Amino acid sequence: MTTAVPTSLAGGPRRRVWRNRLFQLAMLSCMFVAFGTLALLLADTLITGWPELSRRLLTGLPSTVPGEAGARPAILATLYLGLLVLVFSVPIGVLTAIYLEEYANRERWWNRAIEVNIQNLAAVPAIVYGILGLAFIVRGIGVGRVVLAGGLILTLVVLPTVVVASREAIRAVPDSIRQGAFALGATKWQVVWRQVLPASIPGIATGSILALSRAVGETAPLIMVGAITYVAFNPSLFGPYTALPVQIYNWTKQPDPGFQTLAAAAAIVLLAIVLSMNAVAIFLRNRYRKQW
Amino acid sequence: MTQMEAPRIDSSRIAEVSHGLDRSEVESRERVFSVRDLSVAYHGNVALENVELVEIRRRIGMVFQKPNPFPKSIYDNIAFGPRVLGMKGSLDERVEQALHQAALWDEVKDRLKDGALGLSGGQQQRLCIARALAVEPDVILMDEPASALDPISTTRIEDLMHELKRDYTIVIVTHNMQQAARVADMTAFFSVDVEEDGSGRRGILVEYDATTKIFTTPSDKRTEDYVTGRFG
Amino acid sequence: MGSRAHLALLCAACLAAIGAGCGGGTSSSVITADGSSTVGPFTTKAAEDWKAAGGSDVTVGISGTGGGFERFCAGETDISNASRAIKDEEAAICAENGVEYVELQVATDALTNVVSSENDWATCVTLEQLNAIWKPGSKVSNWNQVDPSYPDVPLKLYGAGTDSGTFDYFTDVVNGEEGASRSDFSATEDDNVTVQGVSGDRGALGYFGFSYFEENQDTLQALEVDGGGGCVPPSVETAQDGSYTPLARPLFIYVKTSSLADTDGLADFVRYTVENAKVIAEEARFVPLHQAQIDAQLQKFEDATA
Repeated sequence: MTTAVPTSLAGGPRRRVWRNRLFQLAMLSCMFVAFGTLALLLADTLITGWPELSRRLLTGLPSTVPGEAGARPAILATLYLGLLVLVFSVPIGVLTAIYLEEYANRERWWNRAIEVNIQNLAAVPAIVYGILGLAFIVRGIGVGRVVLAGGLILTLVVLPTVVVASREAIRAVPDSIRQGAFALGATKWQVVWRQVLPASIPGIATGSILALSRAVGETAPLIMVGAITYVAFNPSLFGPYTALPVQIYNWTKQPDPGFQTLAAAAAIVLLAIVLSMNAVAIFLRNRYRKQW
Repeated sequence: MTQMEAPRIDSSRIAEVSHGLDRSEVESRERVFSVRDLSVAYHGNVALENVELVEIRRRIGMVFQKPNPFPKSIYDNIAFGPRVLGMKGSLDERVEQALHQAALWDEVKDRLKDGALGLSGGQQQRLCIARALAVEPDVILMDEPASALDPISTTRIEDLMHELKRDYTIVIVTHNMQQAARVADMTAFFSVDVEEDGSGRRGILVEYDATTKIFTTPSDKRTEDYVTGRFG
Repeated sequence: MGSRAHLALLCAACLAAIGAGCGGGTSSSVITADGSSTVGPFTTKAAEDWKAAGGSDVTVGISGTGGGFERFCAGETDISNASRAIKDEEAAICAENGVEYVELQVATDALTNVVSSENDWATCVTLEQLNAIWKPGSKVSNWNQVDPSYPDVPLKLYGAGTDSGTFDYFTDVVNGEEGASRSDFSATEDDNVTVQGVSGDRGALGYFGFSYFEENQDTLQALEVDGGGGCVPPSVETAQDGSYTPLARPLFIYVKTSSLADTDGLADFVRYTVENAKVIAEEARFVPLHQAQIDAQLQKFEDATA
């Protein structure tokens, strides 16, 4: 059967090679669809919004005249919200992650139930948290439609993500580090606080900041809990507010077409805020790259 | 094994301590020092069940098979133990002394602030020994401390053990008989018993004696079979 | 030993931080308004002018007329913007919660039926035709079903979202019952969606507040409406003089009289708004009231607060 060998050699690979190319082509075109759409959207926003991207937009107060309107209160409130989310979600999220990874006994059903639920909560649509927040935080404990309430609700939105990211980071710390610390007579808390946590900071920081940038762009839950359209003064923790995404949303609904341009410009500002947050995340990840 | 005044381990019990540390038996990090279900004689006290595990670990230093320095600077690696234990005195002096004892000082004195993970494998292992010494343990357990190292680094570790045994009791677990013959004064040979009823395997102490006797005229047949290379 | 204590301490700190939020309430130095998206721009303009004149801070939300009343009757806002009068069931909730209020008309709107500027056949619709198109269960799907003389062009409908006062008012007038409407049309709370949809489709028909038409006259044309007395185009004049009937509608603000004492500057702001309703309406592109109407509303407010 010596003749059979060259036949199969000649026939076999050709089809496999062809398939290989086809698959590469498919992947490439998928990437172009994903990336092309994004680029188009970005370009459209940039072109539309560029003329209105001015100092006035950053420092001015909102107005019914598009040529005079700015978004300072909205930008400030968005930064406040981001700060609040950071202050609330990181300690709570990281401590939860530490408990689940380092302390919880997985044999116990309630710990497993908590784990599964946190995974599921990460997938709950933000509007659901808005409804929850309206009932329990705004009206329930009577915080009212203020910046703090918005911050608490956005914290709920991102908390599961922070927990999941922090757990991943903590799990990635090799056991040999824990063993080494235990061997020196450190208590469990000392091991966690002085070895595991510092070693997992890059992962935690990256995950938290990405979650934060999601929170900053969130509109739906904020509309539910009282971010409003027209606020012509700087926000305070216990005062009424509007947020940048809400401001953008409302501007797009105005009759005067001038507001559409303004909305695009404000969208660029929001994009810049989110992108700079992501840049910080990337910086942290590279700065404290894993060493083991 | 030089037995100075205080540290004294009941020989019949070493088996079980070491057995508990056998790598093949260590399944989770929690069990590394899980001597809770073992009875260990230490300082004449047989039962350790009621003693803080943290305190035992602090008194019995441990060097692992694979070097496991913390992802911190060389200085912080050594200083970690004294810091968490709240030890008094100058931290700098303590770090320097530990590094001297582990014969690492000359190699790292100019780069104490550098990351410990930049050291070679052998240096890392000596750093781990220095780290254990810095908390002034009574006993140092070494779980195959040289098995992940090259021959030159192994020699340095063994030389170091000879230095350290003047001041510390060292218990070393090894599968390398030549190494045992080179470094130990006393040797215990362990094997495993398979339970007839299938309930599992149990570590047993076969023989414990002076190293020269174990390797030349062992009293137990199984020891003889092992040291002459019949099995293992 | 130490681990538990540290953890407890940290958790306590977290809880304390959360708990700190419970004490606060809405500041009483800020006037809060919410409600109709149609009236919103008017109140916003009023707030802007008021602040420029040295007045206090006013916030304006856009929750729709119904959403605005829900908050208003729960006691959460000082002013509710409304593009229709309060409903009985809403008034009942207000009464239940002890919210007393006064209704003030601040401007007029002309609900405008719009078609694409490419539509060269329709110029005027009768109320009967509108009813035939929009009534519940209507099967009208082509312009030639509206009028046999119209060409064979598919009819595409755009309307207001069901939460809006515009929808309530339009269905009340055209279909005889508030909320009664065919449901197979593009319903949106965002009138710009209607602008986009109608301007891009020569067979489309939609309706919204007059200001959206005014801003988009280059791509849209408004249909005249025959309410029984001949075709009348929607305009500032026809809405003001009452001839654009019945689709001219009053726009209101509801002011919580019990807030007048609690919220600084509320009475002054309301007085300012009504006194300047004409200027504000012109600036914000609404159909302004006559001076006589303004005087009447002002009197109504003074009576309610006396």
